[in-house]
Amino acid sequence: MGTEDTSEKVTSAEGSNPGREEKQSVQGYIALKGTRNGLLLTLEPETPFSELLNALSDRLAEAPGFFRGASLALDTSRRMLRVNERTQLEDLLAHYHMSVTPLEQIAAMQQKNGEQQSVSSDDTAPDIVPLSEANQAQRDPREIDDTLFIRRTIRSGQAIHHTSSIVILGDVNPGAEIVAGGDIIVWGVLRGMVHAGYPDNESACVCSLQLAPVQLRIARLLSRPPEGAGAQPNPETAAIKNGRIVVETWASGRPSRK
Amino acid sequence: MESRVITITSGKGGVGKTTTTANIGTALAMQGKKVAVVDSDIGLRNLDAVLGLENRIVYDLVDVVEGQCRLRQALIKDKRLPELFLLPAAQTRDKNAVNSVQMEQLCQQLRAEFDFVLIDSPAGIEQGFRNAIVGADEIIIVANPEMASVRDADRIIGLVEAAGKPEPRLILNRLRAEMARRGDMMDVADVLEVLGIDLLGIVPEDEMIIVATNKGEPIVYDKHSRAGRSFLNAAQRIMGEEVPLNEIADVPSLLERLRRLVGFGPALAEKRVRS
Repeated sequence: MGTEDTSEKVTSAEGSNPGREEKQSVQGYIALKGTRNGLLLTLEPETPFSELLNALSDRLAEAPGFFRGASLALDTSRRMLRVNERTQLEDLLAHYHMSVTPLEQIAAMQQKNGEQQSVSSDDTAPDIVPLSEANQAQRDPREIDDTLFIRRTIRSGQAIHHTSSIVILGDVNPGAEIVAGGDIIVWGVLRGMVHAGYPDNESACVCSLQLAPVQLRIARLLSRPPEGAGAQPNPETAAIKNGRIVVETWASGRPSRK
Repeated sequence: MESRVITITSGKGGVGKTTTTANIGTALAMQGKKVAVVDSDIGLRNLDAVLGLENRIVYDLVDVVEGQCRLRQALIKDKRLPELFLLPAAQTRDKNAVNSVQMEQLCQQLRAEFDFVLIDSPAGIEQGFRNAIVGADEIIIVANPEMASVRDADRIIGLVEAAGKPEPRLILNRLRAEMARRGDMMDVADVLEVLGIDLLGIVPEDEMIIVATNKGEPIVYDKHSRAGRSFLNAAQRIMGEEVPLNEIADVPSLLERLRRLVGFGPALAEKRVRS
């Protein structure tokens, strides 16, 4: 599902200027495309980072001359990078004499372009993203219908990072890592590490048929199951209440918060 | 008959990959199949010693892929079974001496000659592991009933799936039924609950394996060994025969029997066996 989906998302997030795309290439899990503001790299949220890196490396090796010296914007709206991942990516790009432009800078550039164009002429402006729409990403991620749905068990060593909510139909095993900007719902046994509401969405929650995580994080809070306590064999939900992560049985058929 | 290339892997070291490869290979050959066992643990070879063929090595896997010798020159015929052959690993080289393409070609070559090609994978998830699975049709995961091994097995299952291979099957090795029953060790249901793959066999802990390994004589030859019988059963299941999974059926505890009677409790191991 991933690749097509991703490039589609890029186009829509990039906002209604399909006529201006100069070059688009999709290889495996990465989407690298030319936009008016330079190259934009999108990474698929489900794939292990090492594979993404390999795919990118292959893509760059195909035409080293073409990419040489280019500046690349990183679209992190679907996948967030950890510090060491970002370092690895920058190392790879440095090999091709390329550099990373943060997406925020791109947004600023777009904004500036938009202002300029609206001032200069009215007839060439319709392809500019309205600012309010572009800013939607800053609002509660759960309000955007961009939930990542995964229908398999997430195993040790696999990491899923997504800016919005994640639903998993399957287990999350020890050693697996799920990080979501919104809620995390596991229709299965949750035994790995989950981080809902990353980085600071305190209204996010975690639900699971059996909640037995190694560690559970919501926004900036972290909790571990009490030592020696076995997991309840019934569905539970974890959310922040009064500045603490509270786990409650899913009894009434509705989330405990709100 | 279609030739089958099967890789035996685990992630964690010391769980019994080599012992499993040697015994299942021997068991398949005892059933009249033509079998090659391949040691892909380059630099840390062991399979030859477990089969008692160490002193017959002239050429090895690296020699074959580098074209120093023909495949047939490197294959060592077993002491007892005329249909069992070993392709040993190089001891003086390392995992990077072979790449995935060479390994895949080697598997194709072996396929033409044998009914079964069993590849003994090195521990870890690096190049050596990738080489071991690249040419495989099926993967067997060996795990012990303890947390570290199960977690590594889980990681390997994920990598095997990512490599586009079919879902692996599990051999649960070194199970101590008594400890598991007391709850001091993970039992079969605990392991299957996490891994969620089909069970190919359960091998009880058996001191005789250490003796057999040191003698270079696979335990499947020992008719009285329960571990030997378990490996034989696993080999028969690989060949598609229906063998009931009674390896742990010492005597189920009273509670266990009660739970089974009323249909509660951990999913029965038998249910997960693929015919």
